[in-house]
Amino acid sequence: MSSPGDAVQQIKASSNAAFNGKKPMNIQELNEQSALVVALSGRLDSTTAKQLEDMLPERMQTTPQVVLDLAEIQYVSSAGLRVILKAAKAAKSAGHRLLLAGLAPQVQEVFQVSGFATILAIHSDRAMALEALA
Amino acid sequence: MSDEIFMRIATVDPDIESLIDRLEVFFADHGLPTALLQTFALAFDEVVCNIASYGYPDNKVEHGIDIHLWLTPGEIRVEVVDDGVAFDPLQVPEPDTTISLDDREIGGLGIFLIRKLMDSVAYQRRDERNHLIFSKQLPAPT
Repeated sequence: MSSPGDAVQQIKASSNAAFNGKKPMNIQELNEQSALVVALSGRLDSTTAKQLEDMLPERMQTTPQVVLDLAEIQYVSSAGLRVILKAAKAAKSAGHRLLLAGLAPQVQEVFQVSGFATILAIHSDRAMALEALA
Repeated sequence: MSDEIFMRIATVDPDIESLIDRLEVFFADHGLPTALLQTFALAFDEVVCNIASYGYPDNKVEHGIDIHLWLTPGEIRVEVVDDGVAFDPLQVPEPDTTISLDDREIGGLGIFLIRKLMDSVAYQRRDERNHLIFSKQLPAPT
């Protein structure tokens, strides 16, 4: 049997059809100081991960400093972790920086348990992340 | 107010969003903690995705995943039943969570998260169906 985590790959193409105009996740982009802030709100899971995958890895190739603000995200499932990992890899190969900020306690727990907390730069909130870049 | 949810989800284009919408209402109605809601939402996303992607290699016939969530005095319990191929998630090896960014893969992580975040996870194959039962304790009343 192939690896269960790959489920996300296969399912995401079809899940777009379920949106029907109602968005379970929103993405806002704004420039603050020398960084691009990508602020998400809602759920980052198998239904929504494709939205982030369509923009974040690409931004990481072109933008030297990105803060991914998760303060308004309720939970991140492995589908979301996969996209964040992809973006972090894109950042690393381009010599760019991706900082995460504002993880709710239950989101922080997922990053800890998965080991992502040790391979990604995580700051308590957006201001702290921007300060770390300044 | 009912202390349980029954829901059937299609295995083709599963509507996980509606399931989690319903979960949100249930948790709000029962005054259950938000952090706990998010943990169960994550678990449902992982479980339903896995079944829909791997449970039905023929993928021709529409099947259903039966989800039952209920409250006991001390915990929230969930049973997920599907008639797909036999799959015991407890036999999946744990991913190495200590390796570097470059070598990190995401395979197996969803099941690993459920096993780590829930207090108990059990699997049974019965009547040619997979039964996955997981639970998490409620925080003591303050």
